[in-house]
Amino acid sequence: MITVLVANTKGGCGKTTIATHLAAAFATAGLRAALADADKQGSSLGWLKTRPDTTAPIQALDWRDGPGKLPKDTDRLVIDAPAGMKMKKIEELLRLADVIVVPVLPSGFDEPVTGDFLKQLEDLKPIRKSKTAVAILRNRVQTGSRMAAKLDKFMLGVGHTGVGRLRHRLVYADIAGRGLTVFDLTGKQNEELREDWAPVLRYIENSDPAMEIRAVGE
Amino acid sequence: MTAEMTAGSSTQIETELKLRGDPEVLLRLWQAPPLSLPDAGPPKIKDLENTYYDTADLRLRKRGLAFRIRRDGNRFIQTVKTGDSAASAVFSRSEWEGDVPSAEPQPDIIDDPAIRAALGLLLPGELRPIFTTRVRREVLELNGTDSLGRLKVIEAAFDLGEIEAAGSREALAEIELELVEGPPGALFDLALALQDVAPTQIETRSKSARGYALATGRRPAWSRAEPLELTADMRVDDALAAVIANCLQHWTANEAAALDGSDPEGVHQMRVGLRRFRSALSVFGDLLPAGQEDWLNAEAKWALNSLGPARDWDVFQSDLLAPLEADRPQDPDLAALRAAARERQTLAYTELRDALATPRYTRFLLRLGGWLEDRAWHCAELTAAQDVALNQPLVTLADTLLDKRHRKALKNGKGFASLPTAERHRLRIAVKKLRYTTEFFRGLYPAKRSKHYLAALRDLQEALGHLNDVAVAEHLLVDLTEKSPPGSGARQTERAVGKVIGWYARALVDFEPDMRRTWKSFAATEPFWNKAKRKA
Repeated sequence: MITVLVANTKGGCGKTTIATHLAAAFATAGLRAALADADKQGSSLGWLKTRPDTTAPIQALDWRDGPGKLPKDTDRLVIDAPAGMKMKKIEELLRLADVIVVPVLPSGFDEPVTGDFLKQLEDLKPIRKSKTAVAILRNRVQTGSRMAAKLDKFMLGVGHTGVGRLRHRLVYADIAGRGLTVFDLTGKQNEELREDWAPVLRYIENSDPAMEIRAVGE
Repeated sequence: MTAEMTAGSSTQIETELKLRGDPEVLLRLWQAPPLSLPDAGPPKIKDLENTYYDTADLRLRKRGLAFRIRRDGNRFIQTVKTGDSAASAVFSRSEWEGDVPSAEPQPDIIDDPAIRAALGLLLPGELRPIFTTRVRREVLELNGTDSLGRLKVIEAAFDLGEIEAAGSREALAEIELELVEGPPGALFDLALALQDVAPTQIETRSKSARGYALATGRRPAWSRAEPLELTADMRVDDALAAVIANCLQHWTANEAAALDGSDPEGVHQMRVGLRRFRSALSVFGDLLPAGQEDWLNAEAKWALNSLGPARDWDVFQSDLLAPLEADRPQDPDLAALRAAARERQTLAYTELRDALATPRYTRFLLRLGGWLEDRAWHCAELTAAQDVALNQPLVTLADTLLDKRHRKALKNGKGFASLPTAERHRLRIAVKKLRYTTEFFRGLYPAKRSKHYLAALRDLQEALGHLNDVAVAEHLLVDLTEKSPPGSGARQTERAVGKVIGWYARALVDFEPDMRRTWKSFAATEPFWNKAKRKA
């Protein structure tokens, strides 16, 4: 199993959109996916409730009162971390994670807050020992804008390479209320949008703890 | 070979043995008497083309999977195998196979959830061909009985062809012996009989491992010993089989890296595996029929010695010469010595390759493999006392042996400060044996209790090992100067040899107080095994 934690102390950066999309990407690929909601607001759980029966199934886990048991027979677990959470709380979730996906927004991008968050992450044990991979995912990007360039510069500054960018599209807001993702939709436009997700998905797939054993001798 | 062998006769996992040789050798073997038995069925001939697929970042390979599509006339058969690499420890071997309409991979039609999970997420169009194998396969089925009259059915597949990846090609010439029915030892018997006709080597790499190596240009990887899981109450007999299999796996897994030689760790790990094997023989030796222990030990010693010079020249250059070069950059004498050492290293690796290609080495592996599969130590020569000991719980033997080895090390190290070099060499051997014995048995005792002892023992072994490296280097260098032809380069080399020997003679004097402390602290460390036993 690969466990993905989607987290950023800064609110409104699309955490739930990303968590639900990652879970749906795994589910539609035929993997047994679970989505754990650790956010008090419970937006991921709400999304799961409206998810149509005809779509690829995602197991719902209510972790609003803290991490519960790890699900059995699950290939990919995505955790929607609480917004604005304290470092203390995140540590518990971090220990479970193989990858942390940190969404950042170019528009209204809060450099100090995200920068602090990343710095604090670096100080945590599992990451310091590079057991946990950190991936920065740029969300709602208007390509070519000045803010996008500023974000690129920031990321280089903190020593992280991004794992792609998600273009700003209204469809994300439209389908969120219906329990859907772009992975559940057909059509050429959605196919193009799905390509935005390829780098982060590939990054997650390469963080499989089952690959560690092999790395020893190579 | 070994992964299958350890499966033993009790499980249903397929048992197979692979041999490689020149195409001409294969042709000779095809007509060999062992294969032309009257009850051998008519050969089946097939042309096979397999294309292996993976993502650009080779995720399937990293997860120990092989995804291939086989073209068989108009049919396309898609196969996914798990457990095809060093990562195999995490999976049990399994396989999914099904027809697909074309050579286009169809991961979505795989309905086995475990295999789906192993494949992970694949993006649309992400699987691409990595390499292709093309072989003409000729299969013979051999029916017969073994020496004990047990039925055996073996399928012998002769594969001749090539691997193609990214424009490069490599010849493929292998014989796969697969046991359909009967005792696994029968495979080794047949392989030994073939060895009398023409020489082959055991192929430890799968076709897919070779294909990936060709596609990526990556050198064969070395590996450490797999973790050994022994328990206190397991029978000595089972522990013996597990330990031997573990050592055999360790050294054969490093054979490709040793032959390649680009990373010194290959030869090193192969030697560690062989030394652990000899050490296992000395641990369990009293429980084996004397004649068997002797030939196993003699062959292992020969193999180990065949790898010795390559390892010695590796260590000399990386550990002993490098510090002098760092201290005296631009020294032309050292440069001459480095060149001479490289030449010797190249020669030593050539000798190593020759040795591992000899029928003697292949026979050693085959006899050992058959012996292990059949647990052939249970024979007429086994005494009643040995039989009783083999049925004991392991912890009883472990306590006794650890005690014996510990006492021997203490005895050999008595009066350490004034021990002459030869005596310290003897101590080093005793310490090494003790170290391997603790490595085999440490799992039987709580880690907390063994931690200090193992650390002290490791420090001592390393210190004595350094002493030995220096002694070996001196021997190598004297040999080097005596055998090199006279000339101006020879004089430079001789001067450099003097510098190196002088440097380390002095360093050992400085090292002496440290060494003595290391010995003292080991001698004062409490052993971790059963105390009651120790007093008895």
